[in-house]
Amino acid sequence: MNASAQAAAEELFRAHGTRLLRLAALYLGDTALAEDAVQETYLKVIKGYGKFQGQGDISTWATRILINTCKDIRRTGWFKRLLLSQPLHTLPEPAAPMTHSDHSVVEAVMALPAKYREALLLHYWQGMDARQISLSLGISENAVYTRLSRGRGMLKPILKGGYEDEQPHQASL
Amino acid sequence: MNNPIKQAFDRQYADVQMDEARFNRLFTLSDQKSPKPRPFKKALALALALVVVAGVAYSASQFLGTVDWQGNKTPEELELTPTYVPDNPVDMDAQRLERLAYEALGEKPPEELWLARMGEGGWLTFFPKIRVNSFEEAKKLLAQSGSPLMLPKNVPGEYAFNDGELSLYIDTRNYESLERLTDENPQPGLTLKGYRLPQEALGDFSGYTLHFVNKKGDQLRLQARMTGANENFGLWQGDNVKTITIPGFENALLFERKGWNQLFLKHAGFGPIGACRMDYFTIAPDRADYPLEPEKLTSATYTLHNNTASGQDVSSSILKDLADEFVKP
Repeated sequence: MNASAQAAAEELFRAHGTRLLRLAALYLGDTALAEDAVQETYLKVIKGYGKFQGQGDISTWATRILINTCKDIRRTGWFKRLLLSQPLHTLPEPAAPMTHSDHSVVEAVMALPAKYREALLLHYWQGMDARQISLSLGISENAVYTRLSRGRGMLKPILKGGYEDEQPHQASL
Repeated sequence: MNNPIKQAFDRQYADVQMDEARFNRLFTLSDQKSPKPRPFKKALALALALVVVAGVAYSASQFLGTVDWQGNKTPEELELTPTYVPDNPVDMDAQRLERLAYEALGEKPPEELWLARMGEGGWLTFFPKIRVNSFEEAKKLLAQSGSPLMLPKNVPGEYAFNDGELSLYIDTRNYESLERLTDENPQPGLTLKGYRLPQEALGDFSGYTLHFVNKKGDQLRLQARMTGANENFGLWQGDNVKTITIPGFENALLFERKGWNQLFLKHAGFGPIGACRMDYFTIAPDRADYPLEPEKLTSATYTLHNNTASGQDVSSSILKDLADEFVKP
């Protein structure tokens, strides 16, 4: 095992591990499976590090590997049986107190079509910009903008007035 | 900073954390060189899935080749293309459509602009773009078109043009005629059709992407797109984001991160243009509440990005200098 790749992967996962684990939990609806996905991603990062080196933002690359790994897992018959045996709502029990507004936001976002939900959560929750999302999902930046714009539009009834980008005097694009 | 989605999901997932036990399990994995053993059924299902995925991937690579997010051929060993294979016919066809559209874009002469469509009332994707071979060519085409989009006067001499494309919008006067285009390129075995997009259906340029590289492999990317009055990126400010002032732009936000920087600019206030500019949209039944309608474009957003090949810190001054010299070609 390449020591420098391992060191880089450790640094990356120390910094982004919780973010990646939560993203995997969102995709898979199961924390144990999410940990599996993070582990597979970690190994793939170490294995591919030599080829990746110098080609951009490593956390974006790892996010893309994680998303693909989650989607691979989701395709398995085992996963589908697991889903069928579980209640539809596979979100974890919140540890922190949630307001009525929080619940409304989560429900509204989870009710969106997958591609809009995916783009919105990568942007607003995971803090990725359009370029990072495009690289993570393998779609064009324009497709990202379109999905963000439409997703935001669908959430407008819930989030109206809740975003700085709907307030004209604040500096945002 | 008000970000209700982040706030709600952070609370929902507050218990899902990489604690020390998880880090220990993770960091000892590399010694084992494989993930922890899985239950037999799960392993069997994954093995079968992998066989299927490998078969599908092999067939796809034979038929379509491997393309990256920009539609360029990529080495197989990078394995950065999505391996997700949708399990329902609509998504499968949509994915085929996207790939074929990329292929069509890559293989057709630049003057042929293509629209690809799947099924009746299903997904619709078009890629009205023109590839350019130099910065000067991009300048010339934008100047000829009378587009309100701007470009920097020059790019730093150490950077050489690598690739670029100009996007066009569909003129609203011709939008209705799109549905009546002749099917020119049916693909046997695919529920997919390709159409050549007639020049008369197109308006001016709605955006561009230009990519420059220096000898060290550092990259500089310039991107522009025309937008509606109320559209914005919805970015929020944080530790690594600051508002700066660039004369001529309504907004300027600078992101400075390790290894790369990004500058977002908004230029507002030009006369409204009726257009359908999106290069990816759906007319699927579940989008009935979002009918495909032409927009009024009144502003342009620009994204300037630079990064180092090494991942080391890089100055954002190059982006600010470029933005200071934006002009209409």
